[in-house]
Amino acid sequence: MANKSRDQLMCIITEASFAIDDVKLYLDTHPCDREALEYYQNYRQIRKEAMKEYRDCYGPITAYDVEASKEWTWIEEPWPWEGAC
Amino acid sequence: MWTYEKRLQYPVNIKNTNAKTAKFIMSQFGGPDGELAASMRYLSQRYTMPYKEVTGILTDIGTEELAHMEIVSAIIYQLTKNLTIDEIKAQGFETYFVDHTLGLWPQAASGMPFTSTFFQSKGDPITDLHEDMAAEQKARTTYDNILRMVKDPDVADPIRFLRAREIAHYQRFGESLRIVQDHLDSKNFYAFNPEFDK
Repeated sequence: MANKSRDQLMCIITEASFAIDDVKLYLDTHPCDREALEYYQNYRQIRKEAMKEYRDCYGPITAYDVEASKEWTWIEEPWPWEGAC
Repeated sequence: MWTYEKRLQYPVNIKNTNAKTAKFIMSQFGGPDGELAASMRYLSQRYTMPYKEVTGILTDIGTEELAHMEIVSAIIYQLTKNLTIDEIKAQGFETYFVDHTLGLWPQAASGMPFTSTFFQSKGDPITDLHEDMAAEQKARTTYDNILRMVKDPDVADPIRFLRAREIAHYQRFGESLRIVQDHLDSKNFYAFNPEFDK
C-alpha cells in the first residue's frame, strides 16, 4: 500500500484529534455515556495509527517522538503557524 | 504538565496579508474576552474545584484555549508577515509596529495590554462557573463582530471554527454548573461554599 501524503495524514490527524477534543469534554460531564465512549475509542485508534505513520514518514509531532540517532529532527520540520500544512 | 504537538487544532493558510484585520483580531489573543484570558481563567480556577468532572472540564477546556490562542496567533502572524513600511503605514499598523515591529504581543484591539484583571478566580464554584459561561458568550460575540468585518474566506473560516467552540464550551460549563448544584442543598445553593466551608 502506497504511503499517504503528508497533507492526507495531517488531515486525518486533525480530524481524529478534533473528534477526541470535542468528545473528551462531553465525557468529562457524562463519564458513563456508552455511545460517547465508543466514539472516543474509534477516533483514538485512528489517531494513534495516523500519528505513528506520520512520525515514521514525515517526522515527529511531539518532542518525545524524535528518532535522534544522527540529528535532532524536531526543529527541521516547519512550525504549524507558518501555513505550510 | 503539557506536551506541545507540532500542528494547529484547525488549519490556518492565509494568502493575502492585511494589517488592518490583524489589528482587531489581536483582541482574541490578548484582549478582555480573548483566548489567553480564557485559558488562564480556567487553569487558575481548577485547583480548588471540589468535583472531579468539573476539574476535568476546567483542565481540558483551559488546555484547548491554549490551542485556540495558537490559532489566533497564527492568523495574526500570517496577516502581518513580510509587511513593508509603506503597507504598515497605509494599513494603520504603525502604532503597533513602533513598539513590537512584527512580533506578537498580547493586547486588545484598542491597544490595552493583557492583564489578569480580565478574568476572575473567585474560589467559589457557582461564581466561577457563571463567570466561565459569561466568558464563552463574550468571546462568541467578539467572534461574531470579527465576522461582520472580515470578508477574506481564509480568515473567516478558522474564526468560524473558534466561534463554534465557544458555544460547545458554554454547553459543557452549563452541565458543570448543574453537577455542582446537584451536590448542594437544593433549597439554598448558597448555604455554604464547597471550596471553603468543609
